[in-house]
Amino acid sequence: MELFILSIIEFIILFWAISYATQMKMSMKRILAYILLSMCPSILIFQLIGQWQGIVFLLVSSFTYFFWLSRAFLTLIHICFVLIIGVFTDNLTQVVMKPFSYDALPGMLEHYCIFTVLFILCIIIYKHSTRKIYKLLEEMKTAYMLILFIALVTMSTFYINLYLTEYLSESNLLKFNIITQITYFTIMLFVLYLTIVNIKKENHFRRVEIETAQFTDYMRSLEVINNDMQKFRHDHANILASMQGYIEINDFEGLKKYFRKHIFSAEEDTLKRNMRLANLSKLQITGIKGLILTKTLQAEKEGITVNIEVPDVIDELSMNIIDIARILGIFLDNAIEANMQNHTDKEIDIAIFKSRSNSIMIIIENTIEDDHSVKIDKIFNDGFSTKGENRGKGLSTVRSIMNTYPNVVLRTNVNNGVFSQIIEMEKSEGSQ
Amino acid sequence: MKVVICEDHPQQRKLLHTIIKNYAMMNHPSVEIVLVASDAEQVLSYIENNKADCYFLDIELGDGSNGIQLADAIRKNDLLASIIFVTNYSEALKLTFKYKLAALDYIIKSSDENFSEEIISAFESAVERYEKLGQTKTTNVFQIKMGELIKNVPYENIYYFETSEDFHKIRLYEKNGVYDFYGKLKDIEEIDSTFFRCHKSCVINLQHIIEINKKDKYVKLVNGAKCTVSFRAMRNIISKVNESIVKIE
Repeated sequence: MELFILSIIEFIILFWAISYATQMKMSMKRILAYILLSMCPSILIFQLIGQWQGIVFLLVSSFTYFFWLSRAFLTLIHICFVLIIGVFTDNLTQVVMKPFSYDALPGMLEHYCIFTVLFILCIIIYKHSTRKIYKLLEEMKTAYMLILFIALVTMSTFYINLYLTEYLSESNLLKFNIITQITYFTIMLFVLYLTIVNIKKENHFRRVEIETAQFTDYMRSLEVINNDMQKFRHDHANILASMQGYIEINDFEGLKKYFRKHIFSAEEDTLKRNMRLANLSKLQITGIKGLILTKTLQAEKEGITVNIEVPDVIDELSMNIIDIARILGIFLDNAIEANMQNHTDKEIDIAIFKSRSNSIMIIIENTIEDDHSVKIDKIFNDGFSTKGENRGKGLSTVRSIMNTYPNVVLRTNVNNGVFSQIIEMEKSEGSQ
Repeated sequence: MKVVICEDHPQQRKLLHTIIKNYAMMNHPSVEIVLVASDAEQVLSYIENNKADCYFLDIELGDGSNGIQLADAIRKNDLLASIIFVTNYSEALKLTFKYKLAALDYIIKSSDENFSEEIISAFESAVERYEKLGQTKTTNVFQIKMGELIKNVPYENIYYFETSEDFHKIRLYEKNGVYDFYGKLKDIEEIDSTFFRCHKSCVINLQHIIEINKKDKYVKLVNGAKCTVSFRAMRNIISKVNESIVKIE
């Protein structure tokens, strides 16, 4: 009878732990279904056939039931860890019990009380400490599979060690233990190997991705430059034709005027462009360079003045190129868009330099109509946009990228008609 | 206040010197011009043993040196001096001056009236800054360092601080901006009684609360932001706000 009550208590604790860790809503119906499908049969098997058969049935039925409820791999991982924690706290309880030799409560009750308290504590700690980790892994199926695999193997090893050893003699126990340990170790090595292979693959993917992105950037810049060349050639022919006209009729005054107006201004444009290229020459990260150049040309088409300052040689950033390119792309697009609403001075300033503490600063400033046009504390909210529906994805993306870099901070500021985005990257170890 | 002028072009040097000297004599007699240099070397040897409070530097110093490197050297020794650049180069490095060298201003050389006016207004702001530094530090500002530029955010402009998702970054929300910096919320709540830790990841400015919702456990601030309030903080927060202004539900 006592055993029966105790196993009921154990079931209740187990059920609570699983539903707490997985954060599933538990209705009466679900609880009843679990009792009928999993608890009762396993208690019966436990009593009639044998201990470990009962345990195995309980595990398998719990796994299936909860997985069927949630349809998520994470549930399985949670259950594994709940069971591992169960075994662990059971052992811990025995350690704690050792110094307490007095019998305050009958039978196993003391053991169970301490066990319950420790178990609940451990589960709460587990849930809070792993929440962030699971959040990080949200997108990665392979990581989930790996964790699940490790958890399953660990759990099985624990349980085999606990329950099967009772059936073995002293000499066999030793052999059995060696076999389980070696098996466990081999499996872990295999997992490690898989992880390394995966990381390698990922890196390769990333590189390809970066190269593709850079290539597209280049293609775009080349296209723009090509168009400019076309235009220039076209203008050039026109200019010559017009000059020819002035010469034909000996209109030297007109020719002078024309020359000043058209040829000089065209030259000035070329000068300006060369200036910009010269400014970018110290930026030695091709992907970013291409992006800035492309966006600059785009901005100038809109009649925006762009100033670029790169006073120091910049040859590496402590951020993934793809990430920083995405962020800069979003910032520059926003700056261009903000300027399109301006009627007066349209200006974007871009600066990249090393600060005194050797961190790299990237600053993008643009003019805005008036300071109140920017809702500074809302612009980062997902889906918030001053430009209507289905927009405003940009800055929340920036923020989620930023959050993955402990060494990068962002400052956003509005001051006297200037909107600034200031990125500061500290040098970090193991940067890409 | 001590002023240093560095300009390689003799006429312009004279012009600069005269404008500042005459203006200072009339309006700020305590200002002395301690050095009028024609190249960076002279300034470098001066700052080895002395200090000045305000530097007017030409960017295009002849002999291959430039004012930016000079400013960099000055900044190494002295984080507080005002640096004003003078340049005839219209595509000046605006942001670099501002954030990397914390330059007070830069003036583009021109021959018209405007030039001396600009010099004088830059000089005025340098004097003003010098006097401010002389007084005891204003205590009601929170300082954010962006590169070399120090941004002072007055407490009354701050809405709240929150820890970002992970790492040791804190995000400050104020009237004109949002800034990340490295720190701990524990230190923030101790700087002034107006800041209150309402949740483990949030410190709010009590001045800006407009509504406290006991049922859903949040406070609403002037700017529309909602911050979650923990159970324990809820009891304290009500005693700390002025109930005639704040709506409590």
